[in-house]
Amino acid sequence: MKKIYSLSLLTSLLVFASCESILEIDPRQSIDSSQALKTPEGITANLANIYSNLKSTLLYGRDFVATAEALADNARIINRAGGRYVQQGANAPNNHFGNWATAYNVINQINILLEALPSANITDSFRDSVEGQIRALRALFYFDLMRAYAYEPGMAPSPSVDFGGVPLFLTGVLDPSQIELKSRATQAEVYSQMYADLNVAITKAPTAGGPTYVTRAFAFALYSKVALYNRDFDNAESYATQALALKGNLSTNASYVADWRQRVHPESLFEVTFTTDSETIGVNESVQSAFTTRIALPPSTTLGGWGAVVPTSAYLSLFPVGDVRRTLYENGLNRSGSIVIECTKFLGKTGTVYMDNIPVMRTSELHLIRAEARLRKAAPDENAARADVNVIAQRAGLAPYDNTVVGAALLNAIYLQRQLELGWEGDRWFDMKRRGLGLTKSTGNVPYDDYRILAPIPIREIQSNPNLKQNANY
Amino acid sequence: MGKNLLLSVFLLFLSSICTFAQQRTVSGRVTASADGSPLPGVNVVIKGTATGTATDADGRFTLTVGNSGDVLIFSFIGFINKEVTVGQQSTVDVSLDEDATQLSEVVVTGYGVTPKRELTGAVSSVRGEALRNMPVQSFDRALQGQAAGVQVLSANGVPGGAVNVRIRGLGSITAGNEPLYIVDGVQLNNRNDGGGTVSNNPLAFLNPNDIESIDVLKDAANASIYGSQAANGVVIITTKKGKSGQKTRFDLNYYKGFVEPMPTLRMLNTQELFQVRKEARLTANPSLTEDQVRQAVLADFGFPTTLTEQDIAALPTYDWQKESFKTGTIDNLELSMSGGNDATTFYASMAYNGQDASLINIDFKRLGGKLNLTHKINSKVSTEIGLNVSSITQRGPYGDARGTTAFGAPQYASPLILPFNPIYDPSESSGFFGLPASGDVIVGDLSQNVIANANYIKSKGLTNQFVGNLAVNYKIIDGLTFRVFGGLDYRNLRSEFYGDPRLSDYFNIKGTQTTGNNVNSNLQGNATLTYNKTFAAVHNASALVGFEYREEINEGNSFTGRSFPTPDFSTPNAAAIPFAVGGFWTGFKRAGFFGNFKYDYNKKYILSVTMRYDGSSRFGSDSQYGFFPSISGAWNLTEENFMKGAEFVSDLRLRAGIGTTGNDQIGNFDSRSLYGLGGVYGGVTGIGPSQMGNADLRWERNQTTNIGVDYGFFGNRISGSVEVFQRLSKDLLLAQSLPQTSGFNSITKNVGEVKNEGLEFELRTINLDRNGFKWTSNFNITFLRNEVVSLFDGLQVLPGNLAIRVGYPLGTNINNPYAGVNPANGRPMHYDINGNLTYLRVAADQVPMGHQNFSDMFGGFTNTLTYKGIEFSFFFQYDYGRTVANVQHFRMADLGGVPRNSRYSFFEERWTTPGQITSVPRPALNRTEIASTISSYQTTARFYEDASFIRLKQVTLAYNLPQNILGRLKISNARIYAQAINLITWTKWTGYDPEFQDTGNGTEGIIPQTRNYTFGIQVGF
Repeated sequence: MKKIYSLSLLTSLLVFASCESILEIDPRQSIDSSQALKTPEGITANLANIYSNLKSTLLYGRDFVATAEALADNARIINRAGGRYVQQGANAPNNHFGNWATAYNVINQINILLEALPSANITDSFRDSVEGQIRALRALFYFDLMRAYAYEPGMAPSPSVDFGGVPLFLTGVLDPSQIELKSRATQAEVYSQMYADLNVAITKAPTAGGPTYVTRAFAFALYSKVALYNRDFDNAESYATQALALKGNLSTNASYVADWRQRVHPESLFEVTFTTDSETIGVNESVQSAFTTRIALPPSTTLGGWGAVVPTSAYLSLFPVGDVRRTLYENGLNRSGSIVIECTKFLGKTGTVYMDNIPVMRTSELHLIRAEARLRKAAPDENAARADVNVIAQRAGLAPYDNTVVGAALLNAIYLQRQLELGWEGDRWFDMKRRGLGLTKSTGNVPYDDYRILAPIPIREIQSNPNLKQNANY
Repeated sequence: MGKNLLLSVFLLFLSSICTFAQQRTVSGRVTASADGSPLPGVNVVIKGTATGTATDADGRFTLTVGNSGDVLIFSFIGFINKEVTVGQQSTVDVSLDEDATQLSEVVVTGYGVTPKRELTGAVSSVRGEALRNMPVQSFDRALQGQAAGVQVLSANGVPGGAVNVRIRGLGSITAGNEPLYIVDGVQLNNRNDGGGTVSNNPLAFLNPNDIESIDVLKDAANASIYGSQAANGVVIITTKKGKSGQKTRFDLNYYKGFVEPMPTLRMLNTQELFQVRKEARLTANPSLTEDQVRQAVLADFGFPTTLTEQDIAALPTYDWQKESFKTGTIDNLELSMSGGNDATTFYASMAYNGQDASLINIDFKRLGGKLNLTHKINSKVSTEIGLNVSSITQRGPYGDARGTTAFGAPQYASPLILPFNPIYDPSESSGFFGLPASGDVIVGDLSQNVIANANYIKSKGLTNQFVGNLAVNYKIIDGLTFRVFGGLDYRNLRSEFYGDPRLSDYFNIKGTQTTGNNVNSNLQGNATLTYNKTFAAVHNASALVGFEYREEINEGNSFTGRSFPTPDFSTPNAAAIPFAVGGFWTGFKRAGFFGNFKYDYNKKYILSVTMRYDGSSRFGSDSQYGFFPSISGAWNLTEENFMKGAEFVSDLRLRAGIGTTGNDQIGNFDSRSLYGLGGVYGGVTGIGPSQMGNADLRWERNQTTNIGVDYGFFGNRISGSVEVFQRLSKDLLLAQSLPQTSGFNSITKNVGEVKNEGLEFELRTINLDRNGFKWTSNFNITFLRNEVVSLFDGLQVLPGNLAIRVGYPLGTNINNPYAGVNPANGRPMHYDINGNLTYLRVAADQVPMGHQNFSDMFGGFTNTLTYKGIEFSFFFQYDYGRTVANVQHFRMADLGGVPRNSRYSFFEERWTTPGQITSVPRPALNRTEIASTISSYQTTARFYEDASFIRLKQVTLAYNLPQNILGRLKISNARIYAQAINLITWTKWTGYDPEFQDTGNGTEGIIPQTRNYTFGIQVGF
């Protein structure tokens, strides 16, 4: 009996002595924050995670392509995707972009990584390469937030609905004590921050790695687009020129359609890349499925996606006869009793159905940006502008705009080429908005001063941050 | 010494001579009055003497008596004593009545048992008999309506599917509300790992017929000994054991039955659908002519636009629901064996249970075995061994069983498919219409042949589970016992899903196959020391101290392959593309010291103190350990002298207790700041911040107060208990929303308080007991009130979840109140926050609706009538106060607005003419009116319904064969029985069935409950 007493006493003592350690257990799918960003491997993995967020259906995986088209006026919606895109197509309130949470999550990751880079155990060239990429990406995420939630600088339809840009966060948050409840920065502040980031990116981003990763060429290209939205036309022109100098190859008329059939579009400066089969977004939410019922070109008759977001006849009639770009719109298959013309730019080109790389910027757009910038800058250069837009028009198989097309007519020509060249790539909605224009739609017009031009900030954000102002009427 | 012995022998001899002249022999047989079965081991004693004997295995005894005035006393545990005067008879056959109060005398209260009369806390006990032969796969489902304060709602009608058990309301917002389940001392892992593939109830491993009793610890008085796991109550299951001194007994039980679906919903026929689609088109464009409308609708539905009205009138209607919901079968076969001697007892059983759902190709099959063994090694050391092995195969549904909006799932899609789409096509080799290879298309949003899906998709779950326990008791000295206990709950769930390449979802990817493995290993051990001592005959004291450790590791992997050569090949090696791999690993550890100290004065005044110091790896490093004490007392009034006169009071006991318990049902690593696996880009697996840490994360605490009265009148012909309780849940674990601009969504914090208050009432009566006819009733009711008392930072409403607000119950329905249809134009209207009518719903106008998805009254009512071996019982279950949005209607009220079918009731009540007062708006294309501010038809506010119900849950008719027949057949008892489950339901709910649990998918696509009918026979040898 004594033995048992001493045994239990011993057990109790042992247990008491190790109260803390007895409960020790560590996760195997996660590591402690403090250990994550010390090594090249950890930083590479974090960088991959930052890029992978671009694939989200809230960003380039769907919304910034398919939903953007549904909201704009090139498309009409056929209700055959189980109701998807119908509300966006009708611009019903609250059916809008929703990239807020994803964007700020990535921005925070970038902020943390920027703070970790100086002390990480890595080479300087790797450090610069990472910094250049993530600064360009931070600019891209802020740019997309601004495009969805705010008016472009100086473009608010009236001061009473102008609540500024979006909150600007530049330091990392890992601990509850670091959380700040910021109000919305002004548009100018957000744009100057994008400039600041891009100024670093154009010197530090790598020259290789495109179009899967951010390169110096894309940093220049993004810079020119941001400047265009900021109506800073001199910079838009100059950075477009510098981007084209680094990557200026254009599809030809002959290769135009074939280039859209390739996994990687040869014109892409940066495209959100899907690599392995398991990254497919699937039939319900993919861009391919939104745009077409096909999984392959004729003669295939295999029914695939929903084909809900399709061109209006008005849009198709904008293409002059002989325009090679019109070839990318053709009859789909019978789905829910109707066969209509659909866009075939996204056809599961990766070889996996419902999985396509999404070009964020093509060289064609750089010519269009530069054409507009050259025409709209303080000292317009019509000839140079016309030359740029003719690069696009002639390549499409059209007659060049001649010297008689000047001023407003030339500007309209540039806008038309933009509408035709970048159709079904998610550009139209943002393009109309930055120009201060509303939309004319059969489901009801959306004038520029209508509150539905801006997306609603998630209501939980307004509830959890008293300093944050909601967009008007939401 | 030798002298004394000699003397004794002499005296004994002498006394036998003295009595010799008068003695004679009496013999007889003792049986149980309920079923006439023989009772072995009954004590038979001559009153006033020490002379006696015990009955043999057959219930027979022989005893020598002195004179005819002698009185024999028959006594046996669990039965009422009987006295018989011998008289002149030489045969005394006696039947004993069961003592209902004594049977439930002992309650399992955690690390020990407590006589019911000494109980100080709130405990509900259910005897195994109450669950006997219910055609259910898990005991939690059988608990429905049986215990006050315990609400049991099946989440769905999948056999072996999930069940939600809530003891005394909801105490937590985001941590779990599940009680702790303990089977023969083993704390179970009750996480449902089946996920979407199969609805896998972790308690289905145990055959309900192996259960001896279930004790539910409802307040802290008893439960606090389980400290951190006890906040939601503790359910202790004790399985059957062998009895010593019993002849080995065999029981064979077989029942068979069928499963009948609930009635299907009346949807529109083809012609009615055309009608509303036309109206919808006209709403969008009133200027259309009749011909234009007809042609537009014909085009919408994929018909040639040349069809005439006569052609349309002749179009067929196909009933997809009827093909989806089918009658199924139930089979159950069990063999058990039990017995034992003074050293060893055993109970062993083998059982097979198989049941179909009412939806095609969903079923449950369990093969299980159980062994309980006790063995006394010597007078000091004894052991207990329990083993339970089970193998469960389930065929699961397409889409999540807990509710789905998958277009391919018959339970969701079958009422919604446009009714002119044929189901079968005899010209196709598959026999099904509309498969992708055929070129035919099923028109409408729901474009999949769901009957083909259900036939071709292979969705299977195989669960192998082992639950075992081993205990060694060492009696150190009289009253002091040391016990070591070890338990293991090991589960391997293997799931398979094969998407057949013939089906539309898998045609383009040429089929897909996913195999998953999920292994859960739950290991635990404890050591306890108990001591009992009685001082001066009236002071009884006992103490229990112990230490416990538990560790659970859960890991798994999965792989998916795609592109199969033909549908005949479905194993992973046939896949051309290795598509994806997955895996996970997680775990937790708990450790704690506990103790219970009890004192009573002559069983009259009882005081009990319980405490536990408990640690969990889930909490922040700064607060891993918590202390959970309770104190409670009881007063047996019937022991008082002043009550002696009140003969009609057979039992009256007052109880009161207060204490705390804890809840740690949160994620295993929620307290830490982590970088976890993220997305993949460019062939690199990403990592990113996955969680914001909170080193201060601590226990959720429940402070419970309980006052109870146990009563019994007229020899316990009327008995029961009343309990009043308050359960205050503090430091609620809550995923507090963070501004997403921080980069995070939420952080788990201790914030807020929720209060549950209630009244429980249990009443057992013997209404009639005359001439062999007996009628007993068992009634229980619970009234419950729930309220959020406070939130963090003085907030009145939880950001991100408007339904959680101070002063309102959990589950409060929040919405834009529906104002009905504008009689002038048929457009739906809502109230804004100021009570004005509006066409536009905005989130800011959402208000509490004044009702909630939370039952405030529930219980059960059982009646049993017996007469000479015939037994008839019926049992009602009721549940009141739940108002739930019938989200299924959300999709069934489109009335041609979108290409889906709608329910007939909406067709009947739709707005058609100006001035008409109705709640159903006119049909509108795409559910919207054309206007810059759209009056959305997509609103759940229209569809709130009262989900209260009373249900005739169970009706049983049984016949126990009389002894004279049994004797000839050489069997000891035989029973034939018939049972019906869910026979009649009274409810206002208009969906398939009001019993469901809204798990986030609303009420859509939940596989409904079924009606079951079974017939069986039970034979004992």
